[in-house]
Amino acid sequence: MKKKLLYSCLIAAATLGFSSCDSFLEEDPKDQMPESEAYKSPSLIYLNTVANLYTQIGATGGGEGLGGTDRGLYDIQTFTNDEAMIPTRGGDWEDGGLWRRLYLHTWDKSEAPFKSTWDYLYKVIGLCNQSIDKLDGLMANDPENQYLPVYKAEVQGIRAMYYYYLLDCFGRVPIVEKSDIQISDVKQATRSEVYAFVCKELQESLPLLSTSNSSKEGEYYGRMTRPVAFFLLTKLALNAQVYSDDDWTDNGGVPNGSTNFQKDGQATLCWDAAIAYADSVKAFGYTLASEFSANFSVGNEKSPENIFVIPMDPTKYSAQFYYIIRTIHYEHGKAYSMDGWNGASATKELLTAFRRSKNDTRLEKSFYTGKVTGPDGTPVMNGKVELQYMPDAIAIDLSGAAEEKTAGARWKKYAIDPSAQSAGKLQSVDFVLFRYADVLLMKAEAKIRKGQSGDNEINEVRSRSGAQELSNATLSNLLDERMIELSWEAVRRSDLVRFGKFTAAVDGRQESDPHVNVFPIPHDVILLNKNLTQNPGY
Amino acid sequence: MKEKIHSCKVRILLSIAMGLLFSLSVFAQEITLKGNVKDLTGEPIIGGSVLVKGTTNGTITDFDGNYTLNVPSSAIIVFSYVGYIPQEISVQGKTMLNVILKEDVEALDEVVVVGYATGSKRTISGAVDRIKKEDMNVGIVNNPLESLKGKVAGVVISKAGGDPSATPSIRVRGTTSLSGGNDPLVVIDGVFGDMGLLNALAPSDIETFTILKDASETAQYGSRGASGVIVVTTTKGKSGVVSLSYDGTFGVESIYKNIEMMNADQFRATVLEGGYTNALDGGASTNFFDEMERTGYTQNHRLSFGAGSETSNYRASIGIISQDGIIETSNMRNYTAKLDASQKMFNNKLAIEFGVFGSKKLNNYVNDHQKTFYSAASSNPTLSALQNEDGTWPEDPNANEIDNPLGRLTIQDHEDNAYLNVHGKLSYNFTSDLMLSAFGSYTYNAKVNSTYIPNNIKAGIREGSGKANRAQKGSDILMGNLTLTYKKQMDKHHFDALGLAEVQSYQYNGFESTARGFGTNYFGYDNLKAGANVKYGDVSSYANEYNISSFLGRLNYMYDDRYIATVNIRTDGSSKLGANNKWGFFPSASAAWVLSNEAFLKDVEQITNIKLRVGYGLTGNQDAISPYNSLSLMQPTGITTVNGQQTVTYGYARNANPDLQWEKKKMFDAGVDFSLFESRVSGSVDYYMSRTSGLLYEYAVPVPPFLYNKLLANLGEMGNNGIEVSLSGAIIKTKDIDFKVSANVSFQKNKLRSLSGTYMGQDLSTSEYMRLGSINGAGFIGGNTGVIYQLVGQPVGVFYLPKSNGIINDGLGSYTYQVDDLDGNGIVDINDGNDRYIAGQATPKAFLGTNVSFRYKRFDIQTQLNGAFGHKIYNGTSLTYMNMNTFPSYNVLPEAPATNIKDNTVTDYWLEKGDYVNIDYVTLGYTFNTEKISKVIKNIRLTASVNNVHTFTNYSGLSPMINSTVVGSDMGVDDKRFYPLSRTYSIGLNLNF
Repeated sequence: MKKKLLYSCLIAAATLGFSSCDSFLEEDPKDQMPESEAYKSPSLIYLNTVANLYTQIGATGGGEGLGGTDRGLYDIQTFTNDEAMIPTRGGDWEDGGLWRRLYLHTWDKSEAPFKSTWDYLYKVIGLCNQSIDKLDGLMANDPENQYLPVYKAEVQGIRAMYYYYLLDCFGRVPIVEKSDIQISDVKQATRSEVYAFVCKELQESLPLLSTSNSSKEGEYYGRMTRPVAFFLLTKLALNAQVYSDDDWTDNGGVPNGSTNFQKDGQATLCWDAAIAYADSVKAFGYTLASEFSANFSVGNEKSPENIFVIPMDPTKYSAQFYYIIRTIHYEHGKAYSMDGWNGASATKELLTAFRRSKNDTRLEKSFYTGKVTGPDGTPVMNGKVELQYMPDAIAIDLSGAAEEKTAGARWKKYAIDPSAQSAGKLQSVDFVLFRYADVLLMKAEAKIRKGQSGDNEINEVRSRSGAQELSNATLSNLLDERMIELSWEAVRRSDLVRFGKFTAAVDGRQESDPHVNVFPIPHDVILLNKNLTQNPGY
Repeated sequence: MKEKIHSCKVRILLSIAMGLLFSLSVFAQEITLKGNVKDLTGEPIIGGSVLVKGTTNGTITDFDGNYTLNVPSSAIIVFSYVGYIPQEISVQGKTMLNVILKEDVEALDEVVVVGYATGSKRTISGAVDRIKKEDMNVGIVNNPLESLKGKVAGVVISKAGGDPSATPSIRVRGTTSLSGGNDPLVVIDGVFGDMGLLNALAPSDIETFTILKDASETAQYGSRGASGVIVVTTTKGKSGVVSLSYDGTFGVESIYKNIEMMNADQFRATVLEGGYTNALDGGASTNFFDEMERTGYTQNHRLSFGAGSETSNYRASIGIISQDGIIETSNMRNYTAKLDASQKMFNNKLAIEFGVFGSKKLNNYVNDHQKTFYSAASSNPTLSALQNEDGTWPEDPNANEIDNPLGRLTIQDHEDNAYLNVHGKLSYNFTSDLMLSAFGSYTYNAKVNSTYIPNNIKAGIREGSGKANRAQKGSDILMGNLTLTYKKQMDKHHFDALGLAEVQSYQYNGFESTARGFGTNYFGYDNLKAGANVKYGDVSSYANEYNISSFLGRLNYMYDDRYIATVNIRTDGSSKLGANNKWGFFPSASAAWVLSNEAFLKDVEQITNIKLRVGYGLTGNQDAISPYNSLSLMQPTGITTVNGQQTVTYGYARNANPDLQWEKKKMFDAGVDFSLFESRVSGSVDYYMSRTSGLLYEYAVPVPPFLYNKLLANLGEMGNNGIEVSLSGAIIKTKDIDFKVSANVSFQKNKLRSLSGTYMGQDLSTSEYMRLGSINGAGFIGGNTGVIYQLVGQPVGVFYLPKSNGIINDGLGSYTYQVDDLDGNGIVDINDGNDRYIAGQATPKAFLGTNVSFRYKRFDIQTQLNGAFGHKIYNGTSLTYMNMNTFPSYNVLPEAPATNIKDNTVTDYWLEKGDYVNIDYVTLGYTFNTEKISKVIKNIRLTASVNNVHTFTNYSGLSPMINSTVVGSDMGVDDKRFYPLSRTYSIGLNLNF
């Protein structure tokens, strides 16, 4: 203590002579490091230009992550269409009417999930741009280095994937490719320009992307590899007509196959491109898992079907998982020592589609539709009676209804991990973003749209779950099949848009205006950057 | 020759005299000297010092001005009292000496520590307030700020909520910054600190508070002074007095107001009447508030002793403040100790001062007030107050947003906060005019927060079977300065000059860890190894530091006691700022005219003093900037798998701003100080105006081009102005009766003028509607629940709400809030920017502090009233508890079923006026007559107090005394977090030996 005191007197004495000395006011950071440290070795370069992007794929909250952890991307893709809703249950889920507005297509340009989705997607794009700028600099100094171009391709692929989501949600978004830019450099592109950019970027990165099967645990598990890029290209080709259309307020018209897709520099019929890309995915060895549920169970990293996932593990990663918590009843969650927020429920349309499908086991595999049991097999109680979900009592506003708290079928697709932590938010079931069943159904759709039969692909998917096979499946059959197989997997919105059915009337909602096919540019973004204009209709 | 003889005579005379003195002192008789000390008006001087010159033998006068002292018959006695001219009188064998002390002509010439400068009140030209011990609050005072509450115009001290152990907040002349740096700088005996360090002092160890409000004086502190400066002088040993004193209070706290929800009978009746089929009946009848509450106790003891001579003195003090709160399990202990010593050497040329003080404060908090009290109010009253057989607590499963409140009370939430400061000062007087001093100080703070959420309550189950967390934060703060002062009085010219060089070094470090998954609650947070799960991010640490170096020049000049001018020039360099903006320049100037010393007023008897003041200064603020903020640095961003290995990646954790610079505040002040009728009436009036520019704030920025949607930058501007009036009058001042009234009023206006500017050559403006706070709870997650906002052109913290003219029948027998289509576009849209309007401000427009004291002989009574006016409060508590949509999962107010509102839309329906006047305390005191035992005990005083006596208000909620002054999410919003209100009855004892 004396020493400190003496010391401080001494500094005071030293002041007169030295305090103008600059080093006293220079910072020598202790718990943060300068950029120079982050790229000191080849392994650090990989870590801090490529691997660091993968920590962004999942999220801990704030509406971030490709899984839209709590009020983000997933919610705007899911609760806006005819497969899901979060009904108002008295005081619960009132939340200023947000969930009703999403379901009823009356959302405002200021809704928080739009902003969080936008900010998140562009944050990762910004990180990608930083990595690319850094890698470009390193490549200029070391043109012989064979790894740097590979790193760059991977980053480019990731960035294209993020632009794909922006394209799908917001349409007219700015294309930003550099990290050192000003607000005035951020200029809006048309939807078709964004579409062309994403297609070009993915195809450019393809040759250098790893050919590893991304579903195999190892170096490339959960990574941007060539099959992932092919999957995205399949989506882009299938939606070519939608994405290349700059006026969606006429509801897009019905796709008729006349759109070309620029594949490897050639104008190719989009359906042919989609079929070719789907085959490219298959060529990497992806197959359907023998059991539907195996894709969503504990240990689903072994699934041969999942193409791109958000790896989850309560101890390894911090990415959080809200989807089961948010749907199951309070007591149901409690029985498993996790949260239950008693929210998200299946719509009547989804139940109808399931029930229409003959011999189909997928409703029971995907949703809780009645009484439920705890981990020990005993019934979950709701007070003095057994908890029973009431699927058909669902409505967007249940306040005051007898089934206020129990109405609606609840999502069951993902298994509850008994070793989950943080009230179930940290668990080990990977969140599936892309899987092979979708590829098969995309291929079937392209074939049907070309006038061919898609029965083989559709029936491959259906028979896996024991459902009766279809013959001469129509586009309508196919859309139903996608709804059943891919329920609540955040693909339904873009499917409906592609089929021109997103705005169609559903239970509790009149037909909506076609401008809702594309979400509004978040209002705050426009206020902060006067170069940007709002999407039509908002 | 003549001269020689003369000098010879002198020598002889001298030696005789010396010899005489010597012999006298050897053979001096001890006599008992008695007498009386009065002032010119014949009033006794109480507590006046009577001291044998050159010794430590002395006493103080009693209540009637009498004294008794054993002295050598040849002694010279020094009679003195603050504000009076000391007198020296030879005893010359007398046994009785009655003395009349004259008031010092410059009675106002008190020594005032004005920042670094020690001047006299006479020569001050800035706005400076001084609160001496006798002016501080009495009753239960558990915190230094509480002793100052309501005493100074423009200084608003408030404690939000009813939690008696909560630390009050303070604002000097309002909010002038958007983020950080709104707390005033605290300077304790030269040591810079914050509110935390102030709490390391026992309130009774404080001698005076000097509050520098205006930039003409706060500019001395440059970048630290923008929000005012509180200079604290602590009690030191006094020369000639050997003292031992004890102060103690003991109080009982009892609840006088709870929020009253429906009881079990009303609940059942409502369920029956409304035909609710999903209502839970636990078969019991419980008032959860009653179950959580108890009688609180508060104790405050302090013991001090000290002694001093003319060349050295010391004083030591130890204290304990102990409080057992009105909510079960909550308590607070604050142990304080302090030691000061000073010594003069080398013919008084060198003065050494040394001080050390420290404290250890232990707090057991009620974890998450909002969750706990929301749960207590909303829990189903038919549930049992006892635990279930399996150890869990009874709850309605459908009430997801609340927990059993009694279960919540088993959460351990502990804080252990230790401070230690050591400081010293060496001063050397080269001449009587020129002095050099070196000051050094070291402050150590270690704060440990520990929480444990048991595995058998809902919150703990959610966390995965219990969660323990320990967070340790430490700081080491070094400061030192060299000061050269020069004082000169030449004829009518008085100079006071000061030059200073100063360095400050701040080092912070911390460590935190969390574990989950506890099989037993036995360990609490004491053995983290008992938790099974620790994941990435559960263990973390930080370390950072910053330095400031500064130079100051100050000149204070007075001519003929009439004209005063003060100039301060300070420059600060901070390591936290951007490379090109490290140094800031903070000048100030003030002038004063002592009108009363002018010839034309000098002889007006009624006027004692009138001083006109005017000042202008520039101060800075950098508190919103954390170390390294201006640098582009990488931090861990997360964990991923690389080649099968878990690997941490790094990235930029924020938008870096290399242009970060000082937030600057310009302030103008004009005022007048006066005292009339021999200082019986005194007061001051001040007008001030300030403008803060380059407002530091986390501005919303567009993504892209920015990576993150927030950027800490200097944009924007804020303006403040106000008028402060304080008056005090000794209405009656006689031997037996004293009647004093003092009051201060301040009017404050604040306006956020702009939130845009230029950043790196591009125009940047932030979001139009910045939401500060919303309503929380079931059904309030997300959506348009915003209540309090920051809007350009408005005061910071305005209510921006949909307009409602009442409730309307929705056709189903229930009611909803009618909402106006304010923009008249045919659609009611309550999103920000649409059908909303500015409905009022959260910060009061006027504050009042009043103290009335009355003494009759040995009895005295005192009361303090504080008030705030012109602001509004959002009653989110009633909005929530009147909503029948949440019934029966959540309990409601008794009047809710009849009103039958089924809506929780946030509108201005529940916005209410917040005006109030609060009787802070009433204290009755009795001072015993210790005349006969004065050799043993000099003073005995007994008091009885009631704290938080009554609040006059029209606000319908529990209390209008919520956070109305500190910008944050709870500002102006009463939202279910209020502690039950309690009143404290206490007795106090003061002994001086």
